[in-house]
Amino acid sequence: MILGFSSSIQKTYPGSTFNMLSVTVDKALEMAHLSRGDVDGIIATFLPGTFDGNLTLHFYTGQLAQYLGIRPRFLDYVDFGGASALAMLYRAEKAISSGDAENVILIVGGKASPVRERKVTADSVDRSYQGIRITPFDEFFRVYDDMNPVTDYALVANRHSHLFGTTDEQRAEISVKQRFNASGNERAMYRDRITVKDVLSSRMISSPLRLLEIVYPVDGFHVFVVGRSSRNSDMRPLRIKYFGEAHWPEMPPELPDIVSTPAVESSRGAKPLLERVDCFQLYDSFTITVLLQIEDVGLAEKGKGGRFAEEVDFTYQGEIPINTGGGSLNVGQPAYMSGGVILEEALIQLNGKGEGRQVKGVDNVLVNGIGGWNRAHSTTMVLGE
Amino acid sequence: MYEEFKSGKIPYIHCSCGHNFFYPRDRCPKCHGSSLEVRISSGEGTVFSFTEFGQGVYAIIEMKEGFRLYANVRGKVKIGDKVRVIPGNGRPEFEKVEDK
Ligand SMILES: [Zn+2]
Repeated sequence: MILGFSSSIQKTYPGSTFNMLSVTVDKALEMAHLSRGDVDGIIATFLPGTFDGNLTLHFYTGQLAQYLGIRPRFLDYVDFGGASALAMLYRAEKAISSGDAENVILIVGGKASPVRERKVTADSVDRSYQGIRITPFDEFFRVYDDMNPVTDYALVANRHSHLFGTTDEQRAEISVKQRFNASGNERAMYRDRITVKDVLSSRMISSPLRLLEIVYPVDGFHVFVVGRSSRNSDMRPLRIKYFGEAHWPEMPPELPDIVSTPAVESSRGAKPLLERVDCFQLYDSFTITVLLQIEDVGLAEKGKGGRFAEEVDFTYQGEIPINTGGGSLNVGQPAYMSGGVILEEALIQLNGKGEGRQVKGVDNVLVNGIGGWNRAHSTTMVLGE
Repeated sequence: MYEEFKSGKIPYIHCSCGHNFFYPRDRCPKCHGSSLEVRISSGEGTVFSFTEFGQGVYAIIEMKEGFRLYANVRGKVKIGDKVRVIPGNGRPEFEKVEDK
């Protein structure tokens, strides 16, 4: 059961990454009414460059335990990028139910600013350090110019428009509606309302994707506390009603087409629950990512996501609320991974803590994480009592 | 294989099952067979998707032989345009084939 959670997010955090993490862990444990001595498990994820600018931290999870003063019985490392947070929660529940651990903390985040300052993106960290490989075929595509993941999602957006007539205005609706939701979220970095025109007149980054369709990488952590017993927690006793993961390791040119994500597969088993889902938290690295998931989790048929974005009110006041806190498009993307942002918002909504953007009567939330180089991983979860 | 790029050629792998693929492996990703040979593409393809950004145009090209790869493109293109590889300096690049 999820007993507590917390986050710390800043555009640029001046101190050490360990320090920022330590503060976040304590806040999450406080909510769970637990102390560090109660924690016997850690699951974490990591992106090169996001821990005080370090390329790799050998025995990363061991280092976290050392610094936090925790002697774990259970350690795990999940490396699915933005799909990691949900996979970590699922694995923590498994470890606890099998008796491998009593209380597990999940750690997602780091400092994006050292990577951002080098003007590289998450998927091109290999260009700012020696000796990072992202695929077995680096020599064969790193000779081309790219700005992954922005260019990859731009290729997807153009192809989606070509096949289905999706318009720039339709994608822009996603930015506009999420910003409306963000206006009620004190955690959000961007809270001023915007219009479709604002999105379309923002700077072109990689055609057709514009600045207001892309996340801003920030410094920050999300920490979740998972334990066996909820008797001391103020939170609702939530359980995982559905979990699915799927991994499509192919290079995108080798996929049958690039307009689908592995969410098609990871969310398949959640279909019977969709009717009872009160809000959706869909991975939002880019507007097109949200659009793809609207289709892939089954809110719209493949190709109809653009029309959905245009016609359906998916604000927190609407019929199908999506990314009720504004998503990472407005909160920022801690260490190039948004999984913590969407999971935290799901927990906020389920516990009625949504302040200015609370959806009424939230009992079930569907969360979908996408991650990995070129969207290789997807995890889908339905949370409820 | 990388050497072929310098003369503007695009190599690929042909499997006896008929599947052609670009990213080099010692087994066919379709049938898992190992009866493979390296062939040289005609260099002709169409634009599967593209994006224009600060450094130029970057695309996925679908080659005549059925495989796709990432590539740079010189000049403006749209999806479906016919393109052909142009000799480069180790960075494969394509250009639009003008309809006559
Ligand atoms: Zn074969």
